[in-house]
Amino acid sequence: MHRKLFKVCMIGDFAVGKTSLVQRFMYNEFRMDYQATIGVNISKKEVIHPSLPAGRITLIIWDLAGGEPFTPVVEAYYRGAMGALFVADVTRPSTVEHLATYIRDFRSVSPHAQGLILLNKIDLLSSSPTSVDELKAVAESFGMPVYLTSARTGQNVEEAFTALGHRLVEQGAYE
Amino acid sequence: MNEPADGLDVLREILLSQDRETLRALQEELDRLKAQLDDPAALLDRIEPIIGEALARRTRANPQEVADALAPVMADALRRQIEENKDAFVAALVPIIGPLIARAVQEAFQALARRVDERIRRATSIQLIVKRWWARVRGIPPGELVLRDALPWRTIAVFIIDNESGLILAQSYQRQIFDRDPNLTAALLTAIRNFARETFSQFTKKEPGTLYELRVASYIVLMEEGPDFYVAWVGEGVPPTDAHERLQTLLTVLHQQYRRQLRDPAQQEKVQKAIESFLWKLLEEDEEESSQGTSMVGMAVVSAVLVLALSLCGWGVYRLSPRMLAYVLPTTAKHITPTPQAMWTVGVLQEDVTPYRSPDERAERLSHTLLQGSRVRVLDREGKWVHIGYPVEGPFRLEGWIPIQSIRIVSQAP
Repeated sequence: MHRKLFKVCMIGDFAVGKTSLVQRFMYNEFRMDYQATIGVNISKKEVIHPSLPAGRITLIIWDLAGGEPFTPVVEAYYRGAMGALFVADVTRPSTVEHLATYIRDFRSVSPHAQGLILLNKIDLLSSSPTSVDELKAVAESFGMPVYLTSARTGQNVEEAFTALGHRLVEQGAYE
Repeated sequence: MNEPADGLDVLREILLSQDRETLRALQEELDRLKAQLDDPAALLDRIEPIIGEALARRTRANPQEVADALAPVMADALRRQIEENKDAFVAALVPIIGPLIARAVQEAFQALARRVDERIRRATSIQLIVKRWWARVRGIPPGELVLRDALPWRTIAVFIIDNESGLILAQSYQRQIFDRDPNLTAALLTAIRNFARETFSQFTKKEPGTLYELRVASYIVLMEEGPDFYVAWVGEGVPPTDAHERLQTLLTVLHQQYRRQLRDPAQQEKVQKAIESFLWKLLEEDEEESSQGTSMVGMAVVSAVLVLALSLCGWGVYRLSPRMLAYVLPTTAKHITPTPQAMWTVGVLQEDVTPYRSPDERAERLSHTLLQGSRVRVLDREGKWVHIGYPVEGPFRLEGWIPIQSIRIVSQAP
């Protein structure tokens, strides 16, 4: 029997759209105003897909405040996570570079967790596909699947969470 | 003929010019004052510096008159202000009256407890005498026992939560009362515990502590942590005096019997049913305690029987007690010889302790910390050090040495 409940962390710099992605995934909505996350927001969402065992799994999503240094509190929040979505903003290339640090810190706490990289705000960068390709190449060098997402339009959001769900279940089968 | 007239004009000018100037100045002053009276803002500027003093003087002279005059205006203004901006009003008042209210409530409760104590002391009815005696036996003030009866502990939920992930491993809750999502509650609780533990350990520069209790409105969450998971007991009212001991017992049983199954997703559903009986046992004990207040006479009978039984077994206690104390009192022997029978000395930790590998402060410490209140088996004693094993029953998961002042010997168990 497979595990059905998974802890997943949203990790990345501030204002890259972590909370917006969760809101799009949870409620299929997008808010234009920016409200920084303080500490952590926790949400629960079922991922329903025919290819999943019993057709569904449940994610407990820990949406962490962006740009926090790797303190013992953040380390404690990473602990026990089975998966993570590392989020960067395609309009700020530095946020993609910073993913290397986030991934290293997260791996030091949860080495066997599954990860996906989301290059978000793709809707704001439609005019220069070359730069997106470059950023995607940088992200792929971190050894995880990369998704180009837009919390604003909903592009690839559901797909990314569902893909993470699949990876978690596949990993769970070998636990 | 013009000359006399001119002369008069000159004379008039000489005689009246000063008066005319004064009159003009007065007129200007009058116009300015009139303008001030007609302009509320200007009037406010003029009155503001003196109104405080004027009001104070008038209040000193005739306080009732000022109160009568201001009350209708003030009451109306306050009502309007509260209606329009409740939050700001509360924010302004709470820092001032909050501590006063808290103190008043505390004093009222203390007064109530004193009255209850006094009544129980003077009481002659059998029930109250038994209640007073029962309170003494349990080591709590009689007033508190009465409050306990008045505000019985009501269990709302019990959760077994993974220490690291915050995911629920087992649960039991009253669905008609607890309408929150248990998984979200467990995750948030874990986040709060993580935050409290790490933040306060940074402040104190000591080893991480643990959040044992959380109070939100009328709800109380009692928590005890084991090596893999912790138990959160949610309820209302006055918690049982041995609440944390019960949680420790539950944790010990769960770790001994279900540790592996709880961590195995394939067995979680099956084991949940088995564990639920333990959780409900905890709840039933709680109900038993609540009902104790209503059957005091029955309790007195049981107590009398117990006292009689204890008296009959007095010689047995007399024979066992030196053996129990052998681990506590300093002896000349370096090692205690194990007793021929399978007798265990059990102690309760008085503080969070990270055991040493040998009885030496310079020795390496184990990687796990045992929490205050944990029950451990006492294996040996050497000088100011005690050799302990955890848990009390079954194979030890942890074995090491701790300073003798960190432990209180409570009993020997068969």
